[in-house]
Amino acid sequence: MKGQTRESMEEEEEEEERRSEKQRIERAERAERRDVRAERRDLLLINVRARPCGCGGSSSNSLSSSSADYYKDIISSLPDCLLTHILSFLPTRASVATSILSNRWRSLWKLVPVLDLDQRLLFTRLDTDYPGPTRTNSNFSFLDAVSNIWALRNAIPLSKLRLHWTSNCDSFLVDTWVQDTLLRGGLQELDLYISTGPNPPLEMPTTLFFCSTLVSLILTGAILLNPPASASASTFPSLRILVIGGVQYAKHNSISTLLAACPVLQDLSLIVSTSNFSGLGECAGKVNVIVLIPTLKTLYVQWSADDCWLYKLQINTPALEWFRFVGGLGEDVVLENLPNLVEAVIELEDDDLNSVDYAKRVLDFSRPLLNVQSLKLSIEDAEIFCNPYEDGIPMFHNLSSLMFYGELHPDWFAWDVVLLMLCQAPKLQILAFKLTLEDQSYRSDFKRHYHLKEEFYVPECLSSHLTTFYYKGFSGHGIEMELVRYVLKEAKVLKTMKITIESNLGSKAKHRIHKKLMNFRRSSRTCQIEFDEGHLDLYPHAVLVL
Amino acid sequence: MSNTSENPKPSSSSAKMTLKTSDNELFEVEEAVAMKFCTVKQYFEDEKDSDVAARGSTTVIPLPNVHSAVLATLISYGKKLPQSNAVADNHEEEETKKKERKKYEQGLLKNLMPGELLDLISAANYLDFKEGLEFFNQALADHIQNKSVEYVRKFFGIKNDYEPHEEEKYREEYAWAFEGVDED
Repeated sequence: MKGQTRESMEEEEEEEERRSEKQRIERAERAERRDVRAERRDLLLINVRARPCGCGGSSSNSLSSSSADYYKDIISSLPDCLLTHILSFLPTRASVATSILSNRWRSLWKLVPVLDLDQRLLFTRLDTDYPGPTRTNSNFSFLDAVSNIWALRNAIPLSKLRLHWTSNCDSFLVDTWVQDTLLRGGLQELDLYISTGPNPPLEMPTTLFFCSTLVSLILTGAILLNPPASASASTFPSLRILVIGGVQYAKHNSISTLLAACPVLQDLSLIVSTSNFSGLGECAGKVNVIVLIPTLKTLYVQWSADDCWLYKLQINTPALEWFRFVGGLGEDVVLENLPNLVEAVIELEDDDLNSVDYAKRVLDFSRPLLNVQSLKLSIEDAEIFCNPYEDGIPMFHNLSSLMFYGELHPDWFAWDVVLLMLCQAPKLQILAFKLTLEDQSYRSDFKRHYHLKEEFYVPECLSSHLTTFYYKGFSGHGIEMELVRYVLKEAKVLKTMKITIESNLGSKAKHRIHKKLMNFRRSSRTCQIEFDEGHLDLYPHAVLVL
Repeated sequence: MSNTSENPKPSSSSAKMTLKTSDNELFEVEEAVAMKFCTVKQYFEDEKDSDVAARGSTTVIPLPNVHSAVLATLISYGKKLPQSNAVADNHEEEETKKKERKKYEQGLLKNLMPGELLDLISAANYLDFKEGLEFFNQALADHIQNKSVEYVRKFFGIKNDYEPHEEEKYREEYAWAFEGVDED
């Protein structure tokens, strides 16, 4: 990667000449098309360069080189604004590297209004004495790279700043960058993920809350948010995406204040845990989080189950289409007005599953979810939806796709509950499982004999609607086999069954599974079974000829 | 998009427009797709303002900077984009459409020569076709991202006009940027 010698450069040039000659001959064979193309390219280049593109400068490359050259190197003759636009799609490191391509490209990277630096992608070695494996010969620290760029780039306003610095972050430097960027105006995307170790978090400058051009704001890690009380709907009039993960909040109502300042928000992810309010003290009152955003389409809430009595969460979002909830249902969680919800992904983490009060909370929580078309559930939560309301068993009348994920335990026969849920989804078409077996050391426990009692009522959807069945993480244990056997037997209109076998199984084991499954009785004659795991080795004893 | 134009038109959603390319080929395109090319949209709206009597399907919009092969690809890409004024499909149909779109996109990029990709980017830029510009720019960026400088030069036919000592100097200045990329 060092500079080339004169000879090798000449060789390279010769090779390039040879190749271009070949290209020209090929094109000559399609004579008419080539001429038309050449004409059009002339036009394109002339018009593209003549058109005022508002970038102030134009391509500095002279096209005085022979017409054969422009054939080879169209890209360098594109105007600055188009090239910098292309470069803006690259992480900054790659963009800086283009400065070596040719003179034309030397300073282009400095004009790109995007800074995208991710420490984990740039270097695996950390700044300090990291005992672990390092990328060979990395002599550079992230701090070097960052300072280098900041010093050399032109001070043009940034439209996107993305900085992931999770090891020994110099928060003073980050603060300088952020303040400078905000001051120049025009910022549309800000994505910060930092970790300050034992040092205090980086407090976001107040100027952030006056950035009316912001469209996407992603803040994760050791950051302190203190939205001013004066924040209103005119604070973030353009913000569509907001992701807040594990940041600290200065006040109890910080989150609510922030949400109230986003009138056109479409996507919200909120990850909250007790430690995020650590500076506030318990006596200061409950934390109120009110998500009352009429434009919101997707919502992800991760809500720590610890101390959930401290929080009040209220969600009322009529335009919501996708909802994911991971965490605990505190005493004060209200979910209402979700008529447009298409998919829900739920994973509850509470411990007090036996209390009556909790059951009621779950029912209230799940009521607005009954109309969804697609539901993804942690398998341990399946039971929760099987409890009856006062007015009967909850039915998922619109549900066409149901997926269970999580862990299977040897001492709990999950399929009974799964069947119960299937009875509540009469129109189900797709049933999927993405499961792992709990703790490999219990493998022997899984060898028990499992049997789904046949005299149970067969869920209606199996007889009439189910067309697709997926199982990911299949390892051939009795419990898994039993489920597949049952479905194959009862699903009368099944068309596709796709089993993804665990990749760490040997080819003999895979072959055995394959054979056994193919022998199960199928009530649907059109059913195809697919095994997904690359190719199945059907001839395990064949010798590989290398 | 048709639902954001100032004049409420009684036309059906399948109103068509004709676009003429640099090589004098005519393309009949559904209005919803053509409107994604903001240059076309602007032209169309200017035409409306100038109160041309016989509008609609008889208007031919000239695109002297775009070749037919390039326009064909851009139109095809534009058709595959989710239509903003379409009735929300149910979850199934949406998932299927997404998968189809991904497959189409992969197929599109697979055999694309660098020159063709640049033509698409230039044309999308001229037409002010935001989704197309983003897609092809991203494709280009993805392709050259972790490749060595030598590879990128060869790929685009860029002639290295640096003196060896100059190149050496810049490689050292930004040494951290050159660590660990594929030689390919």
